[in-house]
Amino acid sequence: METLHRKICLLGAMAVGKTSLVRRFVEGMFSERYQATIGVKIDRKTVVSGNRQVNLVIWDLQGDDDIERVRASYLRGVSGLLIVADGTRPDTLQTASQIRADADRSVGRVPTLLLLNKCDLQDTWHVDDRGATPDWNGLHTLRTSARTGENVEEAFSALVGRILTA
Amino acid sequence: MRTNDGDTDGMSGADAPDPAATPSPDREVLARSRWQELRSLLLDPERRRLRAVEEKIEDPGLYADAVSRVLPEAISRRGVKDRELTTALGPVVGEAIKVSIRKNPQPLVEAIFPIMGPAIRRAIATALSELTQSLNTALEYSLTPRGVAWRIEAVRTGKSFGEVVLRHSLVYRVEQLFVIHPETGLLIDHVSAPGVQPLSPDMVAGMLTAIVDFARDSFHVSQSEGLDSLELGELTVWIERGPLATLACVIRGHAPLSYRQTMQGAVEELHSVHAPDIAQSAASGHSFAVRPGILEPCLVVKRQERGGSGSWRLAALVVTVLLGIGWFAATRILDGRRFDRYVGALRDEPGIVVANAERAGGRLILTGLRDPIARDPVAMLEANGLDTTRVSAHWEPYLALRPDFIARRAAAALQPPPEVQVAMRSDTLVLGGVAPAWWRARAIELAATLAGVSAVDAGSLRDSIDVALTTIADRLNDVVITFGPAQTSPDAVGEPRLDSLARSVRLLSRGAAINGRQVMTRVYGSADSVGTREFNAILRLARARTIRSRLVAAGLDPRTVTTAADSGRVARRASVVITVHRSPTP
Repeated sequence: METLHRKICLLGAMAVGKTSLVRRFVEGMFSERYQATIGVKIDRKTVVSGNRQVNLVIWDLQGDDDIERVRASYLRGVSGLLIVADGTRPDTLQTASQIRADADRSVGRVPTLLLLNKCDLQDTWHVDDRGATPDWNGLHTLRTSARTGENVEEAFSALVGRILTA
Repeated sequence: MRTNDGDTDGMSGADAPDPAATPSPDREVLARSRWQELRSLLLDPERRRLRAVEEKIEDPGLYADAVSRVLPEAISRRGVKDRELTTALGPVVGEAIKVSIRKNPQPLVEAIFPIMGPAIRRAIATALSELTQSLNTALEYSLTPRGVAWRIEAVRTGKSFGEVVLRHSLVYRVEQLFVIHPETGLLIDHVSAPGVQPLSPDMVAGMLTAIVDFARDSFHVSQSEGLDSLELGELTVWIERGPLATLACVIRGHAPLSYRQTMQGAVEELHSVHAPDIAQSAASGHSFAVRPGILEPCLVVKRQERGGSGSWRLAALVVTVLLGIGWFAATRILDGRRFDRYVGALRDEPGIVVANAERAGGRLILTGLRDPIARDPVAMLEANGLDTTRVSAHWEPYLALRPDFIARRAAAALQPPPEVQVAMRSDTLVLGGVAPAWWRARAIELAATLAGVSAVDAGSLRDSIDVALTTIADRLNDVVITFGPAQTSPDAVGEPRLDSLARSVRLLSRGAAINGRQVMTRVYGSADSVGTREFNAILRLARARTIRSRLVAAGLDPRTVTTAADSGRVARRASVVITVHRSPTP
């Protein structure tokens, strides 16, 4: 089986659930305890897509509103981005939009998905229909929940699919 | 322009007449003219070309122009063919540079200035780093026994102490190698030393890249600079960067700076062999296998030169120390047990009171009371595995009022004859056995003065005179004097017994009298069953009287000899019962 190595990054505002998404994807676990990521946390997971095995090295970057402050050097050589927003906090969607624009400037257009996380919190869901359309600002969007695991595997698989076809 | 063509020059030949002319000069002149014309037609173009070549060769300016057109190409071709040109030019160029610098050094300074700064910085950094490492190691070892040994070695060999320390202490092992794509942080290859369990090299590669990027961004250094090493306890990560790949080596211990060169060599070879692969891998994400032999030289294990011996010595030292500690501890424990046992024995010993027992400097210090007749504590040492060097004791004398001790003291004071038993019953000294009357009297008197003795009971102490007389009397009481049938005189057997008895009783009686005793003899006569009862009653008494008369005849006081009939015994015999009594006081 053909083996590939790819670097992907998770970006987004603070406390949107980037680290929880990675933990759910890599370890299948979720913790209610919030622990802010300082700098970057790196994980790896091997996924199989078609007849190819992809070793994903996942860079979970510190949540910040400004990609410049997030240190653009972490994005060098990235093959795909997961931009994460919190569906219960509309302002994080705005931040995601800004981050995407900054990332585009920094590393050019790479396969990117927008994840609207915390979809299990429907009572406090505040992203309106327009904001939650599947194709937001040209990005493919998925509602995810690190807590329940909803769409987490699908999100990473979708990104890998896009990377492989890019 | 002139030519050197002197022999066949048509022009000069036309100017000078031939001195050897033939007789028909016109024809000859004509023939010569035609010949010259033909020569000119045939050879003039060649002559012109030759002249041009000669002019080029002879004129330095023209010749230089000609050579300059082919020189670069010629140098290039010759350089490819062999190294002759380099060898030939080397001294000349070197000399030329020297001359040039002597004449005007400024152009060269300007030319090499951009590379001098980094080169000097690197050299100084390397030297300082070596110095620091040497100093650190020197300081670390300078105050240890090993450090002293190395100092001696430094003096002996004439080397600096730092050199000696470095030579001995450079022990390191390269445990892991990471070849990382610096752009993506993706792992290109990973090698680990045998026995090392690497944890997710992919993540480590990413994190190393992130750390390097973080440091570089944080301190705003250029892309070509960055972290060279990380230190994590015993582990050091050395990083050597190349344009396409970064080599990170995880080193346990202290690697020499020369190892950097090994790393640089590997990075260079990696780029030389795999540059296209790396670029393609970064673009496609496909991994590739690094050619064997490139990374392996970096996987160095450097042991201390005399590591085995050192380890052996260290192990021996440790074992010796442990044995010493064990021996010391075991000795202390055994000593402690011996001491405890000895103190316990002393406490159980009658006549010894241990007031205080403590250990100091491996010795047992004892203080207490001791009855002089109690067992000697020194004699008890050996039984408990100790000797006098291990124990010092101070015993205050005292009198133990234990009954057995009082009895022993009484025995010591009274010095009784062997047949006397001395014992204590409650607070009464009990004397038993046999002793002379004088001793008895003295003993009763003395015993009253002994500590712990309130009364003396000598009731069971028999007088030795009485015992001796009674013993003799008892023996005589056993003598049987036999008679013939119906006879009142002893028979042949009885007669000599009666004589002997009479003598003995007389002697006993005398001895008793001397000692204030009186011997009483009662003679019993017996008869057999033959004959009538009355006859036998008379016969019994008659036999007793016979004996009595013989005893009296032998010298006994008639008052001390009585007779009686022994009707209980049926035999033709008589016997005596002698008793000893104290003489009535006169």
